[in-house]
Amino acid sequence: MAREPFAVRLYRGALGIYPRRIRGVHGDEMAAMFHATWVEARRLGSGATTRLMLRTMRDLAVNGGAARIEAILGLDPSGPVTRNLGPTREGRGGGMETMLRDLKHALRGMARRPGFALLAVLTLGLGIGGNTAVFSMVNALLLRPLPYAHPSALVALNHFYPSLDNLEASVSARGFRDYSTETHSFSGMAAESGRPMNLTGQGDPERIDASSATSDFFHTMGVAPALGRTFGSEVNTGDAHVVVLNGGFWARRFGSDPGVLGKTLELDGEPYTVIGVMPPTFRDFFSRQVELWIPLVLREKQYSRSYTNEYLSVVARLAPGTTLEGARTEMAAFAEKLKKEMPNQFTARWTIHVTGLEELATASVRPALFVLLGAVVLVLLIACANVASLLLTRASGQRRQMAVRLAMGASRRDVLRRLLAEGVVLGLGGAGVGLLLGMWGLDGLKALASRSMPGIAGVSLDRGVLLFTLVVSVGTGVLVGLVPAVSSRHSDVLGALREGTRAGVDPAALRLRRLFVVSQLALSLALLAGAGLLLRSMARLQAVSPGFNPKGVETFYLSLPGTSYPDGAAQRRFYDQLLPALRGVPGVTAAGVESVLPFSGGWSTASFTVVGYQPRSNEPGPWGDIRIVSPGFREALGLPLLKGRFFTDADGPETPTVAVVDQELVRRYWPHEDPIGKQISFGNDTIEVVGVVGHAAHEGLDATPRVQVYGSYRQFPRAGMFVVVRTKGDPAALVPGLRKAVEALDPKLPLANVATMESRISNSMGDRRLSLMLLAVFAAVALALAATGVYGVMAQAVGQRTRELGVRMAMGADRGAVLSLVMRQGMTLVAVGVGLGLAVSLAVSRVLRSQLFDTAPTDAATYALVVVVLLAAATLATLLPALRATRVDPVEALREE
Amino acid sequence: MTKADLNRRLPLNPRVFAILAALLEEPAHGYRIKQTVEERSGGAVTLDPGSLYRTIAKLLQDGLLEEVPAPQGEESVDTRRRYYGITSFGRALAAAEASRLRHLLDRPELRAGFAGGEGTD
Repeated sequence: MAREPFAVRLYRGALGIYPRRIRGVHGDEMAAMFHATWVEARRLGSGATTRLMLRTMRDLAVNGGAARIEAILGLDPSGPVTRNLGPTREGRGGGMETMLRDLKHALRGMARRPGFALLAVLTLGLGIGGNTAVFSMVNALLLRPLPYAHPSALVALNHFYPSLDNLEASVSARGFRDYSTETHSFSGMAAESGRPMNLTGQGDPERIDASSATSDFFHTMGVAPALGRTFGSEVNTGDAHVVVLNGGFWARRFGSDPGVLGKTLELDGEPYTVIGVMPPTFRDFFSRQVELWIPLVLREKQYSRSYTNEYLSVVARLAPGTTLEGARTEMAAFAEKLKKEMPNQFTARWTIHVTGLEELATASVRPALFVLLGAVVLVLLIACANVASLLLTRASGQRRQMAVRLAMGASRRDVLRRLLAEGVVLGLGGAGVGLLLGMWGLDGLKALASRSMPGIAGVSLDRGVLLFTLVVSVGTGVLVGLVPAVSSRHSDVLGALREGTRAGVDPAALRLRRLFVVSQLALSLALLAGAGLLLRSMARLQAVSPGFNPKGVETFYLSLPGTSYPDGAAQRRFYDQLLPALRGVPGVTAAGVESVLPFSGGWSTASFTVVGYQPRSNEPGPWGDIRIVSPGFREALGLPLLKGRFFTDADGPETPTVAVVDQELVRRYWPHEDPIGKQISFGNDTIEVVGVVGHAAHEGLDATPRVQVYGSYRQFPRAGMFVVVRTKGDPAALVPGLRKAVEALDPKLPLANVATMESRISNSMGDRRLSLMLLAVFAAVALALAATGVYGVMAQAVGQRTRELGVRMAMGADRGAVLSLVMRQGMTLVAVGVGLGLAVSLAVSRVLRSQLFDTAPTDAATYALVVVVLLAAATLATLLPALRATRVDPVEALREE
Repeated sequence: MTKADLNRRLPLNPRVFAILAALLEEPAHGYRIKQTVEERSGGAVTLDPGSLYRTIAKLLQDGLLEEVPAPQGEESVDTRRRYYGITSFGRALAAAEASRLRHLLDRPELRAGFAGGEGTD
């Protein structure tokens, strides 16, 4: 027989949660069933396996946990499923009643010792709260299905360039036509292209995130409009001035008025008739902020352009009976065929990628979320160890009481049940606190992560999360209750009775508590190390220079509608007038425009030829960022000029076209030559290089640099431009003045995407900062819990040895000797914990690798620092009981006998 | 067992009813039960291994299901596989649930209320 996959073997191990009654009879079949679904999920891709794993965890927790609890409590298992079936067993008086009695008893016991209960509940609440908050994110971002019909059959198509830094490009109009007509894997295919538009005619002009979509876009997604209809035949007849609104936009702009159908919106200066409204739950997959859609009309003109003129996001639905794998095979073969027919159009390893939308939706957030989930589970474990430790201490104090109860004829099961009930009550109390903390925590998370995790705004504590919290808290309660229960199972009734009135300490319990402390220290060290590594890589990242000076720079976006600015000449005229006007605003020291701004989220790249440079075969040709800028842009952004000159107003439509390149391009293509006067060409346009500037980071400080080519808007005019303004003092304070300057030229033009350069850069590190802050919080909580754990154990150990210490001091031992005796005992535990923790964290820190920048997962300095922090906290926690030990009065200690 | 006895045990948990219904025609092993139930409910009822076998264990204990030998021709496929058949008690209970559901839906006012919607079988 072939060896089972690791996941199946893992599942077999996890089946241990089921009582033998179920596992012994059905275990093999359950594993076989999991094996079959696992194989199927593997075929569908990593989104499906993630979902299966989480679903299986839930199944194990809910059904395994319930079956185990029934078995432990001896509840009649036929109760909940088949109501009233089977004879009620005599003498049980119903499992429910017994349970209620136990719970009541547990509550009474806690009311007697509110301090103990409060401490336990708060400790568990910390762990459960963290889990609730993080699980609600996992639930919403990874588990909740996409809001489309049968989302698992939806895929995205991309052109993939392994030779261009593994670029996943969009699809060309020509590609879209060929794929939709000449392949068989898909039952429907649609394309869309983001197209922000200016909404005018009603109040202030507004920049709207709009998109153009082919007529079958909504049908392919499988979502019907809430009102009216979606695109139909008008797309073919060419009367495409219709618009479908998003539900959110409809509510915001029209107060959800159903009379909106048939109304007219003025978009980019042209009238569009509203024909439909999508339900508020619908969101555009490729750009979630889309507020309205206009038809995307593709004609021969678009189809005739090159295969690599890529600007369409393409979504398709797998035909019934077709698997993702099948579609991938067909598209890869299709790509090979195209390369054979048109060898000059594509790079060597170019191909077409088919990716499940579900996988695509979660790919960017999955690693960070799993790290957080792991961290928060560790915190919960540490909290459990603390509370179990507390219960153990209490249980040792109650040994006599328990022994009396057993001697009086109570069954062990009754005692066990009492202890479990106590744990469950604590767990539920923890759930209450945890839900509160989770709610606040989630609000905090939303505020922090709204940019880096799109979709987090919709995260809420829904039914699934509540159920999760309930299961986790009851499970936690059972776990912490089980520890003293199991340790009491072996306790010796007679011995406990014989101990008389002295509060005896169960040595087995103390051993168990030491074990807890060691594991707590080890787990905390792992969390501290994780937080430390992220902190270090954040510090390194922030030290990276973007290549320009972002301080005091304000930016915003302008888009000139085609109706008022029909051609390049009109667009050039506008910016010609705008720039001097902006420079006249008080406080502005420099102003310029740029087509694609660094850290704005957008990018524009192209392939070009460097005249005189012959790429070796197998090597991709020159390719990089293309930016159109204005004179003055360099000063506004603070980009250093390294050689030659930058653009001036003298460069114009009549003068020879010129380019400025960055030092990265020079380094790659003219390392030993003077770049000034060299030529690069885009198709038929050959441009002369007149200057060299520094490299400006684009996507993020950690991104691999692409070469950059700048052109002047006076030679290559554009409608849409980012305005970059350098100011004295606070850049944000200047926005009203800048707005006035724009309004004076065109009152219908909205300022979009207004932000300072510094906030753009800081936002690009948003998800790093989020992971870092959360891990830091979890690590701090873990450290505090572990220190409390060490303190508790040492305090108990000192209490237990009071007599011994008293004798030693009576025999002449001085305080220093006693202090070092106790410290030695404590620090042995700490050393074992730290050693174990180091081994564990070195082994698992690899999971952080994708989130580290310029920092090894085994970074020695970080580990050293973390060990010092943990040692300091643990030493403090040992020192307090040790100092108390030195204050033992020998006379008092001996009199107790 | 009288009809009143049966009715006292209703309504059945939908998952229990789905499993009983899947076994009405012939005995089956666990994975086939899962497939049949998920297929017939159009994916509305899903059975993970734990929920399926925990329910099967209860139904066995309550005498609604029984383990039966593998049907002819399937004995050798996998000796670990267990086959489950519905008992006459289980059958009677499933029939009682079916008739309860039928009566529930067959009221004239409901029929009128549902008339506007799209029909499926």
